[in-house]
Amino acid sequence: MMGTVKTHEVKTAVFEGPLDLLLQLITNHQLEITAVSLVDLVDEYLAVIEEMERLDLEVTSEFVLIASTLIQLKARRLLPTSDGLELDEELELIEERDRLLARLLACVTFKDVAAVIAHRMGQADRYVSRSAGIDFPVSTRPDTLPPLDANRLAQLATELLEAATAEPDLDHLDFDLPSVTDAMADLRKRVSEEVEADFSDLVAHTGRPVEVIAYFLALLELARWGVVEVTQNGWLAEIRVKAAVVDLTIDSEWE
Amino acid sequence: MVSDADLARIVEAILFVAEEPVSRAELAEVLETGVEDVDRAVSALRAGLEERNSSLVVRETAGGWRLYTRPEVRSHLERFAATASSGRLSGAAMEVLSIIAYQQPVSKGQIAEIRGVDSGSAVRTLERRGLIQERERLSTPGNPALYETSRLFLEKVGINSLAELPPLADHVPPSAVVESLEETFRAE
Repeated sequence: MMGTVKTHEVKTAVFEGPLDLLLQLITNHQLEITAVSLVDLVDEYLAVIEEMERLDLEVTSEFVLIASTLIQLKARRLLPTSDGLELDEELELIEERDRLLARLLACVTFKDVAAVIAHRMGQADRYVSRSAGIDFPVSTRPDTLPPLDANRLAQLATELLEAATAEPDLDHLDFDLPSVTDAMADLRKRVSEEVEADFSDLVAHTGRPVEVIAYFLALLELARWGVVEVTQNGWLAEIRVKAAVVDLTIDSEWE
Repeated sequence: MVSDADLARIVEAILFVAEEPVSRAELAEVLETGVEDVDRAVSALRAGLEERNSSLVVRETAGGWRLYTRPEVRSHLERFAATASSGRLSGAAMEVLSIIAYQQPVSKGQIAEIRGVDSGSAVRTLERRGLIQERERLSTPGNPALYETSRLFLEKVGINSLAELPPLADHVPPSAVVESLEETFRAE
């Protein structure tokens, strides 16, 4: 319709968003300072958006918003009179257009000043400062340092080494451990009487876990000597105990 | 009474260990002397460094003095320690930084309004670099944070205060450009 539409190469999105794109399109035309054809501008903008969609780039609502404003402006220009537009619509369009213009100008302004600040930062960056502060451990002494000499140091070291190598004193611990031997005797007596028994029944009379452990160790010992036969059908299943050879003198290591 | 030469030496030591620019008032407090003495001491230190052709220089940035190496030795320092160069900021980050510098305190939404594109990642980069910081949060829905530039920003730009930023008015496009833009968009 409008002759040739210059399609811009948008192989990659080099513009940084819809405003940036619009600015780039304007700058491409504005080699000398004259008004850019709005119609061309709108067509190019839409062409880029179309291309973006084809390239599967994200066309955000911001792109769409600016595009719709541009289309409205273009339509407005192509219409010979403004009779077709309501006054409200007209005002809304003017407002939208001025907002877009203001944003464009702000965008250009900040792009420009950003370049200046970047330059200044580049200049300042040529000066380097130390980034670490004072080393506090060096600057501060411990508050109290005991008077010290070689003899005192040797004495301290001797004390520490003696303490470190001394046999641990366990007298204070309560060694009220149930006897494995007694448990073995008890087990032998009861298993031979009952012929086959569940381990849980055999330890049913005990009160503390350590006693159960003593009975379990006793059971293992008896099984080792072949006095009992032990079976268990699977993980955590009941342990079945059966008497095997009854008369055997056990020389248990638990004595 | 400490002599001017001694004061200069003490100032040199303080600036040597300082982690950021040290203000006139701070030096006066530490040296237990008047600000005039501090100024004289700094001048003496500057002259002394100049005189012996030192590679160190005292610069006034971010409202204080700090010791820096001279630009001439920058390239050697880079070879000495790769970390000496902090890496340049992207164009997008620079734009966001400029917007915050002039419009502070400003929210991400307001930045996006000016740039026409979401600027969250640039804001994060700037925050990580310590160039900007959160000043407060708005009580509007979502409690958006308002950002401002930091003291480090002033130092990195090499200015003492925000008042020394180039006037924004100088960077508004020339009137001819504005007019042609308006002409493009005003359909009458």
